[in-house]
Amino acid sequence: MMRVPTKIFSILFGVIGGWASALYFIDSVGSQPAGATGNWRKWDLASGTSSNPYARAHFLLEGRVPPAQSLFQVYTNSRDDEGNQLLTECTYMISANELESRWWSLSIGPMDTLERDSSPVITSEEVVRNADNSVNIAVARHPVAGNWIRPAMAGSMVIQLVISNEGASQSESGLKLPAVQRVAC
Amino acid sequence: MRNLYWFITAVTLAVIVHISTILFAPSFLFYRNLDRLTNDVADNTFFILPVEAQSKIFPEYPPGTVFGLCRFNLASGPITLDANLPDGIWTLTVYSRFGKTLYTVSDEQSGIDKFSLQLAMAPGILDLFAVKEEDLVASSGWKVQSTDERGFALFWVPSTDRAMRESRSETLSKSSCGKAAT
Repeated sequence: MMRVPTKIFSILFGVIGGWASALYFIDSVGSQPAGATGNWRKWDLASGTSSNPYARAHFLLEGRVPPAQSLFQVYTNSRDDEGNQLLTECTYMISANELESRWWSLSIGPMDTLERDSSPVITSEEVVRNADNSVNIAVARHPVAGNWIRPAMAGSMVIQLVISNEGASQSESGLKLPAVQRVAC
Repeated sequence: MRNLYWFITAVTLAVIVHISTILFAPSFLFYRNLDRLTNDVADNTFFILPVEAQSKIFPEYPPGTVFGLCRFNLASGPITLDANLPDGIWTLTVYSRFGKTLYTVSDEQSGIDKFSLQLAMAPGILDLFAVKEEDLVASSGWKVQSTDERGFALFWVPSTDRAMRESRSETLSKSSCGKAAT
């Protein structure tokens, strides 16, 4: 009588356990904390590293092409500097002081269903800089003066920063990633 | 004893599902997605990725960005990629069908905007013993060898708006990808 439930339980445990552990490892092993402050995580796509298959799976499972690590570094952040989850209902200010790179892009995900008037990406080529070369970018669902990113969907969100390796003036250990401050909620 | 058997079965199954989810499922899903988005383009043909497809595969890049793609198949021999790129920033990355990076080059590294890159299958162990000295000379330079016969070469050219996209697409579209002359 006990054999069938044990059999079913074992198979379910194996399938769900294997799948859940894979999803957990994609986040925890595929990315690692980055930057001296904030909650940024860097996706390690360097070939030959043990975290590489997990980082690659992160991109491929979403149908995206993983950037080549020799050309680009990819960072994500799902929390503000106080550690609260990023929500599209709130307004945030992203401030970067020393983001010296030949090219970078800052985007807000997820972008599965883009709303007609959403503009979830801004790049170094179109951003307006302050006199001291610093950059402030507002993230809000409503229009904000200056650099502004409008999230594509309601709910929780993730900031993604893609930085070109070329022209970067800082070593990776000294890289100052942007601050993410909640302005209003 | 019976419980131990089912415990070992569960752990083995969990390991198989874990490995499949990390190594095989992502590549399979990605290639199927790429197939669907570029359904009407034959292998070994260069094309500019349409904006709609681009926003699905590269959502983190603005719609002005230009992506040129060549899905290659080395089953019938080497492929030559003739690149024609605009002035300014660009990168070329060659991927295996499983999304693994095989080769990268950028405008700063290459110093030129027009070049030819040959893609060929990597020789097997037995082939290495048969390499002649003149083959070693021929294999130097712009040549990529892949252990996977299928994959894709991807050009990335950033631009700030749709107008600039048109001019950069026009330059990049002069690139080609086809069977190498023997």
